[in-house]
This record gives sequence, C-alpha cells and structure tokens, in this order.
Amino acid sequence: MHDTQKFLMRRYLLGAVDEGEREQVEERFFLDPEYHAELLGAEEDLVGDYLENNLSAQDRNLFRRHYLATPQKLQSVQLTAALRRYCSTAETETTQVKVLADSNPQSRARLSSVPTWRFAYAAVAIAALIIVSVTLTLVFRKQRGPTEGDISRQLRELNSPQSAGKTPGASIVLLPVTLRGEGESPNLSIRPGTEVVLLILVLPRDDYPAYTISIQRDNDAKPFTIDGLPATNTAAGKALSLKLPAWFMSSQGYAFEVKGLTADGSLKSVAEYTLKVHP
Amino acid sequence: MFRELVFNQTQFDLMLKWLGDDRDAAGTKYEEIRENLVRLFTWRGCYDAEELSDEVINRVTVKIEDLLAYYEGDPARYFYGVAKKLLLENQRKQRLQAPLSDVAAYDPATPDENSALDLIYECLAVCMKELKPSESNLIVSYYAGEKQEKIRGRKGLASQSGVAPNTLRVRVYRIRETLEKCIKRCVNREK
Repeated sequence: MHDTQKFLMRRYLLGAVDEGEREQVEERFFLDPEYHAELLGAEEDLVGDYLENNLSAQDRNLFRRHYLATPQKLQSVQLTAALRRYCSTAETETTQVKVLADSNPQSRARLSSVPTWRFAYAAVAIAALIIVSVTLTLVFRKQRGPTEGDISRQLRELNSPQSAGKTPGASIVLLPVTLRGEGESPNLSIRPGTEVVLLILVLPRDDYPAYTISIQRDNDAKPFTIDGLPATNTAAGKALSLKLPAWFMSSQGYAFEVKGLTADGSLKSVAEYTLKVHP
Repeated sequence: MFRELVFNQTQFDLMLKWLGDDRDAAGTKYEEIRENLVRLFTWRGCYDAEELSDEVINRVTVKIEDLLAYYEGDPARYFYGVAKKLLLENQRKQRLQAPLSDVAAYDPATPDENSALDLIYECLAVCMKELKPSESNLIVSYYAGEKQEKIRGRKGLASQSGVAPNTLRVRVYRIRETLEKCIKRCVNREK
C-alpha cells in the first residue's frame, strides 16, 4: 500500500479529510477487500500510536476529539490498553518461567533428581483410568441415548451467557405466527457437519428483562424449556437468539412459545413461532 | 427510534439470496456488511451505530424485489449508498454527536484514567480465563510487544497459522467481542 494511501487512511480516522476523500476511503472500504484490511490495520496502528504517546500534539487532539467521540470507541481503546498491559505481563511471565527453567541449574537439578519411572508410572495409570471411564460412558450413553435431563442441560449450557459457543453452521429468522400470518411454517434444512443451529426469534415488542422459550417437538411428549434469555438488537428488530444443537433438530415440526418474565416473577405469553426441519 | 419491523421473512430470505446463492456464504456476507456499517457509523461519530446499521438493512430489505429486478452491481455498494443517505438525514436531525466535553475521552497519560482502567484490567484477567486456551494464546500473542516487534509478531503469527493477516484480525476481533461482553458484565457487577 502506497504511503499516501496510508496517510489518507489515518487522516480519515482522525476526521481530517474533505467530503470527496471521505467517500473515496469509505467506498473502497466497502468494495475492496485489500483496502478493507489495510484500513483496519491503519486503525490498529493509530490506536497503538495513541496508547504509546507517539502522536503529534495536533493528531492527539484530533484523536481525542474525533476518534474517541463515541462511547463505543472509548471502550474499545480502553480494552486495547488493558489487553496490551495484560498481554505484555503474560508474555513476560511466560518468558521468565521459561528462562528460569532453562537456565537455573538448581531447578534443573531438582527436576532431574525425581526418578523418571515415577512420572511414567503415574502417567500410564492416569491414561488408563481416563480411557476406561470414557469407554464406559460412551457405551452407557449408546445404550440408553441422551435422557431428557441430558438434553435440557445441553440446551441450557449452549444458551448460557458464559457459553463460549460454537459458531452456528445454520441460522434462520422466525417471525411470530401473529405477524407472519397463517400458512406454511418456515422450512429449514441442516447440512451434514453442522453442529449448532441459530434461531432468531423476532419479538413483536420488548417489554421484559428476560424471556423463557419452550420448545415443543412434534415427536416429544412435553416441551424443553430455556429461561433467562435477554432480547438483543438484530436487523429485524428486538429478538431472542436461540442456539440448538444440530442433533436435536431432527426432521419434524417445532413450536416455540416465548414468555416474558414479569416483575412479580410470573411468566406472560409473548409470541409463538413454528418451524419445520427437513432432511 | 426507527420502525422496529419493516420486512417479512420472504424479503429477508431474498436479501440473503441477493448476497449469494450459497446460504452460508450469504450469511457470512451479511454479517460482514453489517459489521462494516457499524464501523462506518462509529467512524462518523454516531452514538447509535448499531441501530443505524440495522435501519440501513431494513431499508434495503424492504426494497429487495426492486433491487433484484433492476439493480446491477455489488450489493455492498448499495448498502453504502443507503448508509450515506441515512448519515445525511441524521446530520439534519443533529443525531451526530462529537463534543469532547460530553465524553470522558481516555487519555493514557492521565493518572485519573488509571483507576477506570484498573477495573477493566481486573475484569479482563477474569474474562481471559473464560476463553478457550487457543483463544487466549492467540490474544496474548497478538497484543504482546511494542510497535515494530508487534507488527513482525503478527505477520509471523498469521504465517504460522497459515492464514492471511486479515483473517487473523477477524479471528482476534471475534474473541475481542466475547471479551468485551464479559468485561461489561464484570464491570457492572463490580460498580
């Protein structure tokens, strides 16, 4: 990338460009993948220079006045500052431990004085225990299949805020039956290899701090319930994001009922959704 | 505040189809466009970048039948065009805000900022432990080191992982999003 382009990107991020230059940068950002990557790189460098006090007084002022003008950017720069501090410390600690272990004759001597066979014996015993317990669990699971309790636990875990989560391999936006109108349910086909399916349940309104979703599959006697889900902003408005394991989404019909948690702890029906999963 | 729901399921499905025949690839493209819109509005100093981005998507999606019939070109260009129009509308409504006095701008050279940063730092240490080991290792490698060393490190990291620097940046961006959510929850608990 040419230096003049890099200079233009930095001026853009600092809000020091005219209308024509701004459009030029933005349009290329949207349409040219290489330029897109360069602009994001330029932004990282600019934030880095600010945090390391490498900006001129004028640029520093522009950075504070323009770039840090929104709470989102402010938080983002604070996170970058914290990450840099954390990562430098983590890296230093790792290096120190490595250097100590490599260079300290006493620690090397201590380590070498422990008989190697004891480590080997313990490792073999632990490995054998793990293999036996995993094999027994798998055999047992295969025989009985997942219980309702197992399924409920997995659904809760997948939708908990702490869940690191797998990237959904399939997703669909569902409108409430009342908004969608009577007629065929939306259809979903799940490709082999998909692990998680994301359902976005669009809410007709967002009146509650948390919601409960009951999931009724055609072939089940009773529904599974997930509670404590917050509404989030999506392109289709306020919605609940529901993640389901692909193995749970067998080919059949599904009905979802969303209820809102009221101040007195009771649940009030908000919307119903339907879905058909096809092979 | 914009209208909350303006398009139907069919229009949304058509919009995804406009972005690509393969539904998964179209979903990825949709996410990319939305992320780019959020960045654009944030760079332009909009407080409500997420809401504005969703409004752009709403406006494009309700016109999808016409776009499929008459529009030729990269859909991303059309999204950008609508975003520019929305920015103009918002300037008129004075929705754009950039007064320094209204925002406690973060200045690493100011000692007062250190206490706010300390809390974020403490929460970050907690949140890093909630990441998968591969994710926390990537973050540590990505942010460690000073400027030149960092640039060299990132290039090496991308090449080690067998991915382009931009792909690496996107991976880090996703992990940062997870960290940001976790830190927000933690800071709110501690306040």
